[in-house]
Amino acid sequence: MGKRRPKNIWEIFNFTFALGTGLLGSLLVGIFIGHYLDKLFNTSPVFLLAFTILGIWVGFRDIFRFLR
Amino acid sequence: MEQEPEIGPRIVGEILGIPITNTFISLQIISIFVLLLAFWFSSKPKETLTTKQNIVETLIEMFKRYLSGFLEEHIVEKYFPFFITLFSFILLSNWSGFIPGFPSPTSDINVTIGLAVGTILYIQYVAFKERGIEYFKSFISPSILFLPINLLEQITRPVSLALRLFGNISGEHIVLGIISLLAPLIVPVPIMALNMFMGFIQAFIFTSLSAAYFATALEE
Repeated sequence: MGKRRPKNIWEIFNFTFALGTGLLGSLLVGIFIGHYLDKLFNTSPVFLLAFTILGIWVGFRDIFRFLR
Repeated sequence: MEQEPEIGPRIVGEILGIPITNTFISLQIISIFVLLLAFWFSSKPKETLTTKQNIVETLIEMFKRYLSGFLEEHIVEKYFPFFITLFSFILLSNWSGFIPGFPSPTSDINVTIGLAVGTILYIQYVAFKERGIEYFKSFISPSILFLPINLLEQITRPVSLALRLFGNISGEHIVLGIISLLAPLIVPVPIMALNMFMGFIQAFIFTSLSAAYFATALEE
């Protein structure tokens, strides 16, 4: 399988900026939803952990999708 | 005592009990400016090309060619006004921060969240319009177990779009503010040039990521 190279400089810019905040955003959303659900159902820290893991998963999946 | 540089929105008045910030006012000015610019660019196209028409058509063709890297030709043609509006609005907002006393609307997180949520909602609407009920099946692909992840992804996208734009633009303004305090002469000029470039890049990234999200919503 050949390596996929970026077509132009704009794609490199796109990728570098998408990477960081993509991961951060998904992690933050996961943590916030988990924290809120924990407060709602009084089940700390079950939802927080579950949604943090989900958030990380979503972030990495986004990166892989972008790389393909 | 020296005046501290002002970062972020500031409440300047109140209309019917709703606080009005300075970024809100600049947002409205930019919106009207973009509208006027669009009218001016598109007014009275002639058979023989004028200089203005030539430049505008070249830029639009370039942008279309770039977008067709993400989307199919007919989709780009159909939804091009959305992308070009988004791009020109964000670009002018980013650059407007260089006018003294004029706060950049994109350095207010409320504006960037509004833009990002609006974009994502529009993408959902277009995907539903183009693909019908079939679109919702993509939420349970490859299996129903992926539903929470797919939903979470839809929430994550506007958050990361908004954070990226807000963080970069307000960061630039903070850096420029600090540099101007330390060395008010000449030194801020290269930083301003860099900020101008970054303002363009941020507008570009916002638009192309929206196009990429468009593509995933329409193709899956």
